[in-house]
Amino acid sequence: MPMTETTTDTPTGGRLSALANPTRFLALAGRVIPVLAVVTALLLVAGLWMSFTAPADYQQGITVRIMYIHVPFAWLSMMCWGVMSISALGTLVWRHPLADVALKAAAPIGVVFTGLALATGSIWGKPMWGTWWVWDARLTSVLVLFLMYLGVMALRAAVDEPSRAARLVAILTLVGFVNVPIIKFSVDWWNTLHQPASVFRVDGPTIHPSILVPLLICAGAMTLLFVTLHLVLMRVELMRRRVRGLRLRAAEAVQ
Amino acid sequence: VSSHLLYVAAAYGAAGAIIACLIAWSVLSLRRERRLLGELEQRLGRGPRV
Repeated sequence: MPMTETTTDTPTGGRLSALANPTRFLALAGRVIPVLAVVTALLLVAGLWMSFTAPADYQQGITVRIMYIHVPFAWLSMMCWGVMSISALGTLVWRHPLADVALKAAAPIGVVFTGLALATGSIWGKPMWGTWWVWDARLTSVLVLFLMYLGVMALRAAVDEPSRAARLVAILTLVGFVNVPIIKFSVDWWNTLHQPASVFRVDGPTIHPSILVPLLICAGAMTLLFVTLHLVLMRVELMRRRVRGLRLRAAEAVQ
Repeated sequence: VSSHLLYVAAAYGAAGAIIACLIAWSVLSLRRERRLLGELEQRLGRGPRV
């Protein structure tokens, strides 16, 4: 499928159309990824060091340290589906050449982050709640998110025709977005064992700064890790599509 | 060693191992596709930009 360039009169539109060019995107990502990887590594080291030197919680003891990875994984599991939903709109509405590439590249990262949010939460739950798992609204809705990530990947793998697969996956992603606010507000709407929001609140965070700062540093590091891996996997997918195109051309030349 | 420390070690160990696998898989995939693309472009010339 040949790449089509769109032209606009506005400077913003011009920049967007420039990024819509996969060749330019590949070149730009190639320059940005090494810088992002270094910054991510530095921030991860800083975040981990701060998470292990932060004081223990007066109730949870050192088990609170699991929160420094569990909470960022949980935030990013929702953010990743948000990125996929915007990409789905890009596929269905704006027909952006990179939208489906972005959606496909985000799914494996999302499934890993969501799986880790569930796993680390479960490991925290055993000493704190006395159980690995409860079917409360927050845990169940995150499990549904995990299954939806797997569903999106399975659907794409099940459809042979790439453009049809892209449309179907985009529709499923947009339908699945309804689960994101359910996850966020599940602790408010239902009586859950999971604690309510303690960072993103109208009246400000309820966490002491000695715990909040390392948590935000870890969250920043994980977010950068997500962005870096997403760009790497977008490059992989673009190259894979070029390889497929070249193989098709070679096959047509033989016939 | 307290049992709580074991839970913390299990959580960080599992997360570290799985994230390391994700990073390795991403980097190896990039290297594989770059090599494949390089070989095909050398053989066939640059194809249509997709």
